[in-house]
Amino acid sequence: MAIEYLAFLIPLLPALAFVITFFFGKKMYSGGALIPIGAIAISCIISILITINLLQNPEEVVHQSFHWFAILNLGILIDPLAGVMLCMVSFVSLLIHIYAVGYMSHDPAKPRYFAETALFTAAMLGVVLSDNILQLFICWELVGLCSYLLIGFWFQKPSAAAAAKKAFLTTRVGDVMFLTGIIILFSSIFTIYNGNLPEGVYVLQFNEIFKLIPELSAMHTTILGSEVSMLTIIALLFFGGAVGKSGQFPLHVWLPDAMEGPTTVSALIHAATMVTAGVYLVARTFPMFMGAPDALIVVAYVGGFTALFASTMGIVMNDIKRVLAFSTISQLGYMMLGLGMGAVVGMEAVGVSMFHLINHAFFKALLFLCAGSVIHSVGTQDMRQMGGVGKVMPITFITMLVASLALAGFGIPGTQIGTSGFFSKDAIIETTYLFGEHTGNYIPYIFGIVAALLTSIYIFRLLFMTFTGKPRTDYGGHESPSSMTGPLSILAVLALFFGALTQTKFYHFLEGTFENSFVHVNIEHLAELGNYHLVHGHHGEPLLILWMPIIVGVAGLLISFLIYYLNVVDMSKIVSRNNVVFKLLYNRYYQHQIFIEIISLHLTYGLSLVGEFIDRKIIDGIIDGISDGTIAIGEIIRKVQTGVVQSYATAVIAGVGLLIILLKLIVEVQ
Amino acid sequence: MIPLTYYLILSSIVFSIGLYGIMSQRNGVRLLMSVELMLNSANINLVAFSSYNDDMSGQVFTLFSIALAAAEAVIGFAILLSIFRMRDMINIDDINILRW
Amino acid sequence: MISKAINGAVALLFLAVVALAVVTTTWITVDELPQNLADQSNIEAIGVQIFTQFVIPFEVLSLVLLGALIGAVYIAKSEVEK
Repeated sequence: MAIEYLAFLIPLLPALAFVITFFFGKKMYSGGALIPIGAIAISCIISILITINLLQNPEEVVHQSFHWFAILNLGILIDPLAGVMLCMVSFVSLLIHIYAVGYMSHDPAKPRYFAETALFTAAMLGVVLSDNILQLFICWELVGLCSYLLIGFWFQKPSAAAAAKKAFLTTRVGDVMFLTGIIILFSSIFTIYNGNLPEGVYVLQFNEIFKLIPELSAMHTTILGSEVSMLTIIALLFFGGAVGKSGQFPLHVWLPDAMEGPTTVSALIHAATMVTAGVYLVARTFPMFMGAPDALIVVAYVGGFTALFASTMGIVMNDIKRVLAFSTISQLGYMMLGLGMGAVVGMEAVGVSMFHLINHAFFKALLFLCAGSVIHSVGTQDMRQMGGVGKVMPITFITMLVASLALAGFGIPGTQIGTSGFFSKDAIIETTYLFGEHTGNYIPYIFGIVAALLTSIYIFRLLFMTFTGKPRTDYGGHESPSSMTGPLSILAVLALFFGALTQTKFYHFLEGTFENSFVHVNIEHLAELGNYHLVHGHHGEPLLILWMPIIVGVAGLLISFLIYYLNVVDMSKIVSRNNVVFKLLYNRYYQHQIFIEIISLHLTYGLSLVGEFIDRKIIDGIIDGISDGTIAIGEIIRKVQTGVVQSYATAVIAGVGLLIILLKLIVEVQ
Repeated sequence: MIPLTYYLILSSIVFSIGLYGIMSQRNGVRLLMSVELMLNSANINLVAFSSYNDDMSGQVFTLFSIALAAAEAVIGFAILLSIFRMRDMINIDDINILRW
Repeated sequence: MISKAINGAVALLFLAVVALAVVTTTWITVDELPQNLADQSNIEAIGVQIFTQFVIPFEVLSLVLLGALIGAVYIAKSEVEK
């Protein structure tokens, strides 16, 4: 039996594990943790087997479709893009689950935790597997729900409940845009077919959508006086959904607060499941973006800006998890930036971006799990209270060091020596340089380089503050159990070597995403739709450009080393309440104030006041008016009913008299 | 020879007076008196038709009716007496404790 | 006073209607009434009828009167006497 026929089990098993663990977990060992672990392990094995098959024969993608209703279907699509995502998601999720057995050992609500993370994984696998945009959206929403449940896992804490709400509402903004995009897409398809949708064709399936890209691109509508292609609008709305889910500026505000959940949840959200969904969406619908150059440029700028913006805030945070949260936002920005470069490099943009996504998943999961290990042992998240942790937790220290090197992208250009981050992040930066070379626009490149410098600074600052020097407080601490250090070691190995082993193969593999037995998209042709030309083969970059990322990486390491290890510069003098730059960064550019006070309190509150006025005074007023009028009339008419029998008698007699007269008249008329 | 119509007119006048009393009076005794008037107007009719049709049973019924009127009056006055004992008045407007 | 005027008007209306009906209707009567009604006594005939044809209603009526009597006494008896 071919393994492909088991593909439907990939999301189904974790979903089943959710049900079993949720209802029966209490009586099982360790809150029923073994069931999700087993289910995800099987999913992972199936995913890897399918992906290996796919590697040998990239043309034959797995596609199974079941009729749902009318013109909609439920389907499974495993092409190279989905395959690598499936392997990454299930594998990283598996490691995090194993790690969580140790990390969550003291928590009384273990069954709920494991059930929810299993559902989270199932939803994310569902997003990856979907072969049509609607099914993707359903799973997408399920991911959002699970993130809400897990961020608010310790809902007894008001801050956790608030963070969960914030995450849910913020991503909801993006989700609404995504849904609007789907609706516009569907109505546009309807228009293209003149209302006669073809029989037996599921129009929301990706291959059908991609077929219609030229027609969508030809449809125009006018927004604010300028003519915009329908495709651009749809692509931008999809990107809006991705912005919400992947924490891009300006909807990134929920990600740092999402640290309120258990650290394992943070790792799951940041590495494997939630935030990658947005990047995956853009990659999945990449042909649409190719046909809409304006949308692609927006993706690039938003991504680049987010990368830079988030990394500046990462420098001043004192909470170890918050630093990592901003790091995630920044790295997601890189991925978007990479995708946005598709205007020049075509499919390779998906390659570099997804490659960074996979590598990032490994080293970011590792970073979070290390941080969790430290928090588990030290009992605080504030780096100012740590210091010297490396002596008591050697394994954690080494794995953290590996992850940091990967994040900062250390390696030697021109060779196969380097951490995974080196191969992926530097590839993105090189692509941005290529973009600048061909369009004369070097802004994305500058974003990328400066963000790389800042990344290096903040991650080594974290490393030095936490693991080196002398303990600043008396925290005790001990190395974590093997169920925690085991996943750390595996992830560390991957973070070190995955990039070097797979880079070229990976790009080539992903090239087949949009050209196989399921879908044929001619990227070159789409690029012509958007009026630009793709560049092939780019090995002529100056040596300085190749070395630039590693130079800024080392520079960042040195700066951090000087300040936080040797204490050459006394930071306490610079980092004071009066320093404008520090205040700006520490208060996260006053985004909180902007969002809460300006948008929430004034804009939204004002709008809701108007809404309330309309609802209370006008709509309710009409209804209340009707009922008040009825009551008033009743009050008047009810006076007739005196309750005095004599009055009734009078009325009856008068009535009888009049009736007789009437009868008489009628009879006589006849 | 008096025509039948005269008796009927008389009866309807008496009935109308009773009707007016029923509608306008608030005193319980007067109400009962009005009721008696209406009842007796019916008796007049009965006797008149009985005579003009040469049928005795109408007059027999009149006797029954008078007896029943007596019973009715007895009950009515007993109730009024009871009310008067309780509230020192027999104005039926004020007897409204059973009103909704 | 207004209510009394209304009551009067209603009563008059009713009277007018009934009177009109009485006047306009053709009543079926015996062709000829016995001469000099006062000479005849109908007491005897009534008595015979009561005790023959209507004896059962008559007995029932006596029960009704007895019931009314007992009821009236029960309702009207004073609390003080107890």
